[in-house]
Amino acid sequence: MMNVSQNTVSESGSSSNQYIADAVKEINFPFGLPGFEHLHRFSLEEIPNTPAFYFLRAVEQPLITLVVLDLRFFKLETPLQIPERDMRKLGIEVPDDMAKLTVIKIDKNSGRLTANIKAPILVNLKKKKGMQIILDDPALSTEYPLLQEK
Amino acid sequence: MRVTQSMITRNLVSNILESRKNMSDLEQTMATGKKIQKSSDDPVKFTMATRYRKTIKLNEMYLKNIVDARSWVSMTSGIVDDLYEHSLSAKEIALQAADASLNADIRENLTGKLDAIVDEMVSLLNTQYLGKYLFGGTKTKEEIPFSYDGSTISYNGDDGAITRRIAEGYDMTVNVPGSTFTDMGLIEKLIELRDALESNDTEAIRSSMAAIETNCNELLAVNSRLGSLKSQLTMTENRLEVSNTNLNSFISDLEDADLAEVITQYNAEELAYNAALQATANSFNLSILDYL
Repeated sequence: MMNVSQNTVSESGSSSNQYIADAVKEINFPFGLPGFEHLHRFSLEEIPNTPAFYFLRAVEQPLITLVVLDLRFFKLETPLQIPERDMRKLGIEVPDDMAKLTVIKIDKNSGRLTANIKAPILVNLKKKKGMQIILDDPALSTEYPLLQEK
Repeated sequence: MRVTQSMITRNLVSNILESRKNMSDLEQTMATGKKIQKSSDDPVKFTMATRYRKTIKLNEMYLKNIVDARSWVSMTSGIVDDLYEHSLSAKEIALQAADASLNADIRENLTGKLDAIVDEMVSLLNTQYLGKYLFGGTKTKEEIPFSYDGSTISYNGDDGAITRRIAEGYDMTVNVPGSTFTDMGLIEKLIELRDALESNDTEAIRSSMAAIETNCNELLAVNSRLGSLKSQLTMTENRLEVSNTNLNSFISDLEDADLAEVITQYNAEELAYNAALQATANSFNLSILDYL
């Protein structure tokens, strides 16, 4: 990894060790989620026996549910660099107030799970506000396999 | 009851059909690793999946249109760039020619250079992209947009917009009609300059020079508009791609019989021997592995 530029915040040692669902039960998405722009309130529900995975469920339309993974529990080769301007949009002052989620998909052919790390969902834990951002880095995949083949 | 040949055949056929159906269910399960392939098993989910599939298809069409729009805009802005460079050279010529003490040979030489610039610019204005004239307005095929006979230039196109639908309810204009250039007198001012050069009219040369400079600025403005179109295209493209990824994830998960079960199995079977998923911050020693 190259030097961390001043405009980004890298994975520093977070002091908050709680599960995101303990801190936040419902997230407000002022801009909706791409594809679901009309929906703004999503609940965050634990999936039994699967820590770090959650259902992100539209409160107004519960059938619309995405599976997300808390990136704090997922080690990427290169930690995601979150632009400061995106953090500002959500009113995040310190990285500890921020959670990063990634949307999980089951691959139709292989049945394996992939993560959209190109477009993480940022959550301001204090204000319970979220936004899905799109990172510029072309190396990031929207279908990153959760497990690398050995 | 007499068992007829046709009854036997009928039974046989229906048995075969039945077993084929089972086979196909099994094949589908094996192929996808999913319990439910047909979301028709659940009409509400089926309806929703169908609706969002349509959205995905539509978004894919917009994404194609964006690629096409980007080519138009990039080609156009490249040529506007070239027109700007040539106009600058013409302004340089005017600057030199404004010196009244020039002798006839030098003036003639400058006139020749200017002629070459005009020819080059006219040919740029008649550029085709994939068999279509870029600067004919909506008249992209019929006739060459700019005809120039060495003394006057005429525009044969219109000032129509060529649009591409790049998002729901948003048609982006991707062309710059040739009328934009005739309105500012892009070529006309150069012809005036040449005439002034030929008649050695210093006053007229100076006023042409000012007009050409104004045109240069207008060309820059045109290109900065095109530049903002390009960034709009990129933003829209990103958003559509993420939309489709979200929608695909949603449909994919929706159709899965028991996603939670899949994830649980995934945790148990896969994570156990793979350290890909683990606590990133060792400082608090919290790991997914602790919970398996």
